Amino acid sequence: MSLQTRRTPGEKAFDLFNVVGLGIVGFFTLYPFVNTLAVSLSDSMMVASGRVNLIPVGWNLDGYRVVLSSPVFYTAFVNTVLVTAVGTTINILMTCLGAYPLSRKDLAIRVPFMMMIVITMFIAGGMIPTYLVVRSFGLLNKRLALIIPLAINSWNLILLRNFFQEVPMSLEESAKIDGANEFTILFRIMIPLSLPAIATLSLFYAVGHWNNFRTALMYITDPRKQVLQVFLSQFVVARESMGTATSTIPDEEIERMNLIPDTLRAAVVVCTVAPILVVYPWVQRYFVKGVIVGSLKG
Amino acid sequence: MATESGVTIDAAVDDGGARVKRRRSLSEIGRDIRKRPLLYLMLVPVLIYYLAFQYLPLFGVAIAFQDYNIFDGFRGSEWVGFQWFRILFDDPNFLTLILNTLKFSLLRLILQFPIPIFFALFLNELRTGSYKKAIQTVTYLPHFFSWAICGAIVISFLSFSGPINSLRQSLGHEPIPFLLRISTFTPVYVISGIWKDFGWGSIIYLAAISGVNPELYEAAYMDGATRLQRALHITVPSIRHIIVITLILRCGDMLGVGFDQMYILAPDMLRSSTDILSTYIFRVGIRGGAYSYTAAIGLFRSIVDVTLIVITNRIAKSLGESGVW
Repeated sequence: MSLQTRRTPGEKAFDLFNVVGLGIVGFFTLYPFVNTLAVSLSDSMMVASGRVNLIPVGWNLDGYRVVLSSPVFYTAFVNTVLVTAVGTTINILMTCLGAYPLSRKDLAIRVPFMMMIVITMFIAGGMIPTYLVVRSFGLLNKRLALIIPLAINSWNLILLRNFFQEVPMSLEESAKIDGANEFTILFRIMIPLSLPAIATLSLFYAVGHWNNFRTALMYITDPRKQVLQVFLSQFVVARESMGTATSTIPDEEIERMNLIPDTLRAAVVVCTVAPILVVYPWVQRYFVKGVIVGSLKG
Repeated sequence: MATESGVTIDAAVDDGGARVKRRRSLSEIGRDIRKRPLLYLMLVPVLIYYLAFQYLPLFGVAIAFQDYNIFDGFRGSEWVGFQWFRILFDDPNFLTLILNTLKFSLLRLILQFPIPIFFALFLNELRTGSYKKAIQTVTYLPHFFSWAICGAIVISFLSFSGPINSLRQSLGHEPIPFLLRISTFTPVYVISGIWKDFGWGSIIYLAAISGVNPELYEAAYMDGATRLQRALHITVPSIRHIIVITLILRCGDMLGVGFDQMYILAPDMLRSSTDILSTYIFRVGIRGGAYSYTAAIGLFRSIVDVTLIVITNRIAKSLGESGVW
């Protein structure tokens, strides 16, 4: 704000307090992450003795060596990548197929169809009935169980519909005169013109798939189909009991490396987090935009 | 997601409904389908998705009134009326479950809910754009990681060799097994919840603040309003509407305390004091196979939540707020 040129001493004191205070808040938000990174890169003896804080002590990559050479981690990683890639593609396709017709204000079925969608944002069947439906479709222990039941997010559908509504009608009309059908209009006009929105939604969906933990926990029990988040959660939920905590990684291997679960767990965390961190700069920018656009419409 | 979606609901239904007020008859829809069948063809997979994965489970709630078993299926299973509800309400453990759920829910509502609001207000007072952006980037980060990730980090952080216990030991105190005692688990639960979502939760308020006409601030400045007065009388009222909506939606999720966080953080030995509805439904229903019994719990939860959201919405409206609907 341009008007705050002359500041009273009180205001100056407040500004200083605010800058320092928010800096401290930011520091402590990041602290646990940096600590985990440091632990993952440290010697396990140093970690056990509590000497690792924000900087790695006794540089050591054995945790990563164990994790990255573990076939179970590899399987979970491949499954997660697969589910994220295929899932996001299906998400975008389905969301576009819903958003485009519903963005046409003269669509006869528009209002009832929107109502049908909005109702599901307020009431849902709950964990058990959903589980039984997924089960009755024979999706249990299939990677598709992590994709099909999550094919559309109603919130994203409405966001994209709002975006499509902004595309000028005249473009559509002239395309129609040139003989284009609705599919051509969707794929040749609407989607190319909405690429920023589509990119945003892809990130929304992809991060959602990557982080999806509950669905995998519920629908997948076969280790060959399992995803990273559940693999990671095994280190967490079974804490304090070394035996189960590392059940998916051969014990001898860990003993040989002389690793304590802390180092190993930290290494798994970093490997799971890394792909999100790579896209985070974009994600953050787009997400914020998406939420702001969405909320201002309301 | 609930908070964000709530805001657009009005818009979503409104701009279709209000402008085209007149009701569409079936024949009109039929005519439209014949006119542009491809547009309707696109909606077919979408419709199938909603029917199969949103509405089928909604009607599947009926198994709460059945003695459902996998082999007989929905159609073959015996109807038992309110049997499961009677069993529930006679079970003292169910009361414990409800009390646990309410305890964590209320703690979240009271301690977690206001923080993003204050955070947004303080962020808004930062004068350096790049610094503000940096703080936002850092504080939004935990939101983008699942509870499996965040839980692992929290557990490392609070372990005997983690920074907090190391500090305690270097000061001559005993290390604390934070997650293994209910007296320390509860604060860890609340604080880790705050840590994960306070930054992200502030976005919706920042968005509302950014929509305020700057002339208001200038006029107030001309009239001699101090910065505090401008914040209290311009910024705060600008987000009041959003605060109320968020609060109402939170009340409508009273029994829906996050499954992921509790599942990840709570150790088995604290089960009697940390078991909440969702973790119980998961363990006894999905893992244990007691589908009808846990579906009854789920239905109970939905009814309470819907009642709460209706009541809070009505209270908000009677206080002159606009409410969610």
